[in-house]
Amino acid sequence: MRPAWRLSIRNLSERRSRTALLVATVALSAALIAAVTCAMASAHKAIRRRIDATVGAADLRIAHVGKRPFDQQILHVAESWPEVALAVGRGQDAIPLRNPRTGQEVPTIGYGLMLDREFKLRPHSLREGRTIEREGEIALDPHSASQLEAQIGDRLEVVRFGTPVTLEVVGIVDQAAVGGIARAESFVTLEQLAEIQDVRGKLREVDIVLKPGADPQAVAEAHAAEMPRGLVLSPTAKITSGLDKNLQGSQIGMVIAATLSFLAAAFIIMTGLTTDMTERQRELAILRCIGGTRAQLAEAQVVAGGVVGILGAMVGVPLGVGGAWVLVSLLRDQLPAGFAVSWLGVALAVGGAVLSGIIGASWPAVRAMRTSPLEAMRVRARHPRPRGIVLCLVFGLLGAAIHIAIISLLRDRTLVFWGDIVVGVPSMFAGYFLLAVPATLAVVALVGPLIGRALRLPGNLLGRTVLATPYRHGFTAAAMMVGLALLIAIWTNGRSVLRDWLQSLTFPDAFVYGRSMSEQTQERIEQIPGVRGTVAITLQSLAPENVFGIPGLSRYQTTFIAFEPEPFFRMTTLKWEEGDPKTALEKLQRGGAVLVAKEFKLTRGMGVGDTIDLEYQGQNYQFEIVGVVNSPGLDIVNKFFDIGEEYLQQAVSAVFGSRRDLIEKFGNDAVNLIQIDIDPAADDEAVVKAARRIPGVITAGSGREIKGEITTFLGATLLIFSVVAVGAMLVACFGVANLIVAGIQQRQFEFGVLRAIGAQRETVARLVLGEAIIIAIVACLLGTIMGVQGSWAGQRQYQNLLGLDLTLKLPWGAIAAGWVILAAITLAAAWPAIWRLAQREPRELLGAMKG
Amino acid sequence: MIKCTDVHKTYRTDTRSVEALRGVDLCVEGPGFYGIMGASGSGKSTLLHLLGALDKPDRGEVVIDGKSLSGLSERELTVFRQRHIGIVFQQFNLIPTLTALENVTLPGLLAGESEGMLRARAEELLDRLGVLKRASHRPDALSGGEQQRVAIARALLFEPPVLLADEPTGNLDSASSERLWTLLGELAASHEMTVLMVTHEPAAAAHCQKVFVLRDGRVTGHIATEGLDAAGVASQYQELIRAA
Repeated sequence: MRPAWRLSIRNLSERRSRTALLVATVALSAALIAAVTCAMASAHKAIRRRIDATVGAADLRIAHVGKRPFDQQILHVAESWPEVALAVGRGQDAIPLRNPRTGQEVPTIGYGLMLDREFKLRPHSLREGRTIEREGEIALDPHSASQLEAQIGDRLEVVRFGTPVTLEVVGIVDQAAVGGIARAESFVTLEQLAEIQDVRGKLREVDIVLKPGADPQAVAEAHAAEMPRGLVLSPTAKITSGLDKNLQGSQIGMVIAATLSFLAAAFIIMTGLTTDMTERQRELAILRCIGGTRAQLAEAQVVAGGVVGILGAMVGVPLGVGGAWVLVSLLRDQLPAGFAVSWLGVALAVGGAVLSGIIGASWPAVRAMRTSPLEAMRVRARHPRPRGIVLCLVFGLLGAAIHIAIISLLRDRTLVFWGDIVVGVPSMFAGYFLLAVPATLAVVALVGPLIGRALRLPGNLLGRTVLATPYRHGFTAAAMMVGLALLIAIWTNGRSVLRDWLQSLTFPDAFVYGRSMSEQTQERIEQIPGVRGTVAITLQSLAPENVFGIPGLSRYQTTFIAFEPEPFFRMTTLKWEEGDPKTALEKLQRGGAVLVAKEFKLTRGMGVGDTIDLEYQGQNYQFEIVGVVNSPGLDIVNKFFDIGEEYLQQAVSAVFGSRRDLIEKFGNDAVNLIQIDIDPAADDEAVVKAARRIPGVITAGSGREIKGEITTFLGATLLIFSVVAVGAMLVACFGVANLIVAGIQQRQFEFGVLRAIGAQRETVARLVLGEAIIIAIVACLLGTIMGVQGSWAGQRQYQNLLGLDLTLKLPWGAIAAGWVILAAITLAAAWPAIWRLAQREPRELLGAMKG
Repeated sequence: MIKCTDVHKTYRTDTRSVEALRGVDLCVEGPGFYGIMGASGSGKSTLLHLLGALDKPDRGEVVIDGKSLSGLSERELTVFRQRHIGIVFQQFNLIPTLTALENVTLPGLLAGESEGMLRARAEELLDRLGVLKRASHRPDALSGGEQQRVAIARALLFEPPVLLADEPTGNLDSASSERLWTLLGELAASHEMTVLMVTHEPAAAAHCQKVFVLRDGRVTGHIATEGLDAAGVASQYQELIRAA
């Protein structure tokens, strides 16, 4: 074994507890990365399985642009194509169910299956029972089974007018929810669905399996002209491409998070190894005296860092993967596809752990190389030079300033996005780490005496102790600040989205949502007491040219929301940023005109008089912008009701136009939503309840109710992300523990002298506690400032990428909670070492200098 | 007065136990400059730690200035140490982050005394020991001899009846060492204080009025050093060791 390696391993094994703390730091970072990536991979696996359950082995799909049912004859047309091996049709409509045994009633999305073909394309994974085999049978998904409290053998009633229909539950199908919001689903035969809906000969989609060797894109192009108006033939790869974009986006996010996490770990390792090296100055000097080269001393440090990294990875990665497995096992209902390992995540965790150890060891290696035998043999304390502190201040401010400059001075949103990720965020990170050193000096100067007095410490002992090693204390505080900064950024931007975007949407009174609604449905709703009027709404996803997102990475769609202009304007409160209702109405009725949401104005400066190009199925359509409005949230409502499809398409923002344009240009005459205007004197709930019972309606809800549910969901998401931030603090607390332990070990004799001259046990304990308090204060201050800067940058990015105009309001509650958590974690990390110090006898401490 | 009666002390590690003191009987009757001399591993420092109330014997009794240390709690020992015993170590006596003046006032601050009065007293002590001009310097800016003088000044803050010094000149050159031994003798005389110095150097022991010889954890005898120089002390020491 090389001498440097031997030296390195000996040093690590001699200081087991401190080595263990450093390894724990890296291990926890690695575990977090591995756990989060594996959990995300499992979630994507569930979604992919869900999509496979929808798409199956199909190469092509025929569907209406507005998701309306169409004539079953299309199936036979598709079957006649020479390239087709199998064509499977499916119906889809609302099936409201009631369980007489339990009294529970649930609206479900019902799928009508062609039994002779369905399972060849999409084998159903069963949780219980069997698949349906005939009419009169129904299979449920776990969500609807749970809500109905249904068991195998239960006879459910279809809630409808007319002849009662009873269905026997024969199976529970394993079906993943998408995005955490489950929609109740049920499966019957196609004929049964037709009987329930009193509509025969209709399908919602036809899925096609091609013969081997046939190219889906080529086949789609060859037969596109045979499709009746409104029907689209497209390769199923396009359906999954949205999911892939999602995955890509989240992977980039993961790489960034992993980089920052391991940078923090690297700083902790650097602090730990530097402390260790300082303590062993005489030993290093002796090594130099007896022939050790500078390169060997440096190599020993790097090897030590590498060993810490490898050990951290060996402990952390299995821990993280295991933790994710446990989580996925507990969430079996939400993630029925089971556990998936993210090999990218594992590679990130292992590579990041080793790199953080090596990077962290680089500065101690440089210091070790510079060890002068004569200088190190002198028994003197060295005080930090002002030059180093000044450099930390200058470069720290520079790092923070680079981040601010990128966000505020660059104009091109692609440059801003990538510049921020590649340069801005790391600069800010490194900048604040360096600023922690002068910040420590400032805090000691301002509050050190106060804390010393509060802890009943003599004179300026606390301040001088911290000032003797400002780098150690500063970098440790910096490691703690990261978690707090994350927490503040998450809550500031999360609350801004809720407050400035969601709460600003003025939802109409109520909506109904269904898959095969029509003007007849509208008429039935208008007969409900308390309903003043209705508007049929059609939603269509289109791609506006280069408006949102980042070219090459993501391409967000936008929703074309179509309605009858006059009743819509009458019933809906639109806030006009530009244009006026009268002129806009005239132009909308003429056609070729749209209103755009204000996000368009913010991202591309589009306004009244401009032209917008909307792409659909490879063709561009031009519309004149006749108004810029604040969205009434119809696209949000649709996302809420149809989360599965929306998740794939990633639509942001909306344009508003006439149904006539949608029908004429895109052939889409479907009715996806019906907006209801309710008499203020009427009972909202009663109207919504009555609307749910109308055939064709899958669900209905009041605007207030929907907004409330979305708010709750987003709030829960914020809490989940906060756990990640607290996790970052926990990682850093190992750094605190290591610093405290190292500091105590280095100053054992000093503590012995203090005890010898009359300091009680608790006095030395309070001295070390005071150091931990200083670290916590610096971390709180810097973490808050960095969090605010990160929040501000995040809001600018929201504006750049998505056109959201958010205001910066600090979440004082979250900040206060963050401060309390950070302080508690810091003191808890320091406490074991402090307690052990207090237990030691003076003689034992003084004996530290012998040999 | 310092008195030890049948004092035993054993240290235990994971693998073995070491009996450092095996029944030490020692009596220092009045003020003066005394030495404890012995080879490395004879138990000198262990004995000093017990006399300095830094540790407790396994068996036997230690009495300092009429007070038996056996019955005192850990807290009481600390307070007793602060007021009645001054201790000077071989090196690293001073807190490296504090100035010389701050180091001297430290025991007083720990005892809750007022800073103003402590400052005046500390300056007086530093002046008496010839290092007042270095009062605002930190230990790394002081020579070894100056550091030891500051340590002695700190030890004298409460004018203790007993001053213990554990090989105080171990890191000093011969000239500085001579000066320090002379100083300790002068302090013993002028302050009517018992100064007990642990040493392995005959030259140091020659400055003491009486030297107790420690061998293998026991006091084997004493040397009356009046009229003896370093060589004389060394010779008597060797005789005592051979006879033991």
